Amino acid sequence: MKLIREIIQRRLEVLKDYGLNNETAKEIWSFYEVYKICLNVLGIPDNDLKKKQLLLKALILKPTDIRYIVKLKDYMSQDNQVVELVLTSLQENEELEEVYEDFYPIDVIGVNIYDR
Amino acid sequence: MIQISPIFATTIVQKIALYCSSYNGNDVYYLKETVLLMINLFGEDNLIKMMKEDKSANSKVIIKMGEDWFSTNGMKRKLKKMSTILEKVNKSYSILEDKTLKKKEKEEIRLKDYLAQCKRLPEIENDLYALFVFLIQNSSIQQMNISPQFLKVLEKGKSFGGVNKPRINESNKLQQ
Repeated sequence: MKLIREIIQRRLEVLKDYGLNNETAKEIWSFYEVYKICLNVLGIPDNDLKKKQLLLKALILKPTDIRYIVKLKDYMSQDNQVVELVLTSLQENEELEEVYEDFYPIDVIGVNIYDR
Repeated sequence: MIQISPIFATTIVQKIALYCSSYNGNDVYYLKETVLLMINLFGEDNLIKMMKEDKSANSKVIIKMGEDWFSTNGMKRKLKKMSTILEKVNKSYSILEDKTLKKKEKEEIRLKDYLAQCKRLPEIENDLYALFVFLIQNSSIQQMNISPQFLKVLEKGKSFGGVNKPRINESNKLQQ
């Protein structure tokens, strides 16, 4: 799941750039792209997702509208926990995989990872 | 686990990199492109079979998606609908983002067209993301890295995602 972690991290970097350049609408949009991936990694539902999608649409149409920005930023502060949780769990899984690989070198010819 | 050949793996990672460095619907276009390519690499029948046997954290969604794949509200039909919306979004977006075009040329395409398509973006359901995560989880591509050179730079001379890369036009001028 290295790739999923990298996608999340790249998008978080990008949204940070948007935040620094005062491009709040793009920042929020990028965050929700990350969030939707995270929901599916954890396998948890979000009953407010449709509402958030509609707000995001409204934000594309009016990127400076403060009402949409405030509402979505409010949601973002809660949804951030989901993203952090996924990043931590993916990091832990990778560390575990590395330890496993160190213990059983993968270049040993004829050894199947599932037989170990 | 589906093994993806290096050439397709590179193509997929490039598309994912474009997904990471776009926004406002154009990113979802690259996500859809990735998903469609991976469906073909998995083979549709094989993919449905794998989905029905899924044991991941998101198995509830994935198994249902696999079972309803060909139904009227199934993923096959949804993907077609998403493709139509996203092709239109990408078409207008690419022209708006093209810095080499003059204002007049851009006016022909109009921001209105782009925004009209963006209105339909909420129709792109969570299922696309669920399918994307499933495809990555079940292929050799999950261990790959995104090379910084694949990331697109949107604005001239602007660092993007910590990467400095000249736009194509700039590198041509440098060579001349």
